[in-house]
Amino acid sequence: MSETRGSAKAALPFRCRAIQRELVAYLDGELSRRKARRVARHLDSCTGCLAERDALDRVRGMVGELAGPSLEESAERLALARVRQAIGEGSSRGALSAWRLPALAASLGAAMIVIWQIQTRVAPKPVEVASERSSSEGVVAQTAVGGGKAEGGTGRGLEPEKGRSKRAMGVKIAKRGRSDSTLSSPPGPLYENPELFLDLPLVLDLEKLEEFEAVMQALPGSGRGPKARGTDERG
Amino acid sequence: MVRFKNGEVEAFEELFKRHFGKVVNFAYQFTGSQPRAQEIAQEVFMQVVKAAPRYKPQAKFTTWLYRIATNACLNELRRPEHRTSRRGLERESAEEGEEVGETDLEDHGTHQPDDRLAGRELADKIREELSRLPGNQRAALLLSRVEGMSYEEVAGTLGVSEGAVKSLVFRATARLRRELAEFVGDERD
Repeated sequence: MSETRGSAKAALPFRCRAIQRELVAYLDGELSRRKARRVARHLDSCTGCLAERDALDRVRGMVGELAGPSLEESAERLALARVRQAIGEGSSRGALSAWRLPALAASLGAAMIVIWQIQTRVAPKPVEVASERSSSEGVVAQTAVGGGKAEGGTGRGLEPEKGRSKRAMGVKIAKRGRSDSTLSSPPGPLYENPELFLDLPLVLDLEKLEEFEAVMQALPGSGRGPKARGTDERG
Repeated sequence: MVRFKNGEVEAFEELFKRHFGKVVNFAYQFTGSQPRAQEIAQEVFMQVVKAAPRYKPQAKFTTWLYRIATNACLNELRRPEHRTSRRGLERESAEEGEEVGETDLEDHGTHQPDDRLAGRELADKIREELSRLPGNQRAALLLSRVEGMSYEEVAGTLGVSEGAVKSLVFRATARLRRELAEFVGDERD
């Protein structure tokens, strides 16, 4: 059968084959005017293509006339009820989803704020450090220039002040020393006050010492007061 | 559809009543199974509801609707159980003389019983051949012949060019013409 078909097709003149390819579109009225006229002219003179057109037209008619199912009204109502139910569920879900995005954005923003606040509390404040530095440097400069007496009268009175300035400078140096491990020359203040070198091991572990001191003071009957501490520091 | 998109639920019911039967018919011609066709049509309208917020009235509503319907039918064809079960069940019910809720070819009341039997046989044969067509050819032919769409509308529905639609419809019709030669006559043989 296919051989017959193939041979029949092969036997068709090229023009007929080209026209028959256009026949369905011609019947559907989908060809341009020019093409439709060309097909019509060919059909006027070619009985084979005319028969093919009729056969294709019958097939088109058969497919177009295929009856649909007789849809019961109850089936349609049932389907509508189901879809209505879906609409109800969909709208409630839609309302939820409408809130989902803003809620997510708000929670994300809140989390960011909390993280930022934690970071700013944990991290050392550079402004405070700078002010601490400037104040300590100022004290050092004052002690260096005024020699202590000009500032506070007696040397004793100046001791705690000097001690504080030393301590502040020590902390500063300790911080620098820890952060900058490749220190090739002594820092400026240390260069100006080389006696601080003597206290350097002490100030490097100043925090531990202070902690130790606090523990000692807290012990009952230790007899170590602020006065004693001042003595220790001097000694 | 625009009214429904704007929140008028009654507008959806209008759409449903106007198009549900047609979608069932299309799905029935596509799949050959009435129960499945009803399920598909229901799924199609549920998808319409879901997709309503994204609907843009650029093309005709029916183009959009039949695009959803065609995709649903093509998905149905991919189901493995479809190929084995559908034909057998429909044949059995027809042989047993059950009411399947359909007439085969349009019966205008002028045919004799023998003609009706021939009509049923022919309709079975056409459906069988339709079911053998590739999905895109079947869709193009049914949208064009059964739904009466222009090639331009079919192209919009299937998301292909008009030239492609012309080719799909021609190939589908030519194949049916070959397979139904005993019914339509073959001058060349």
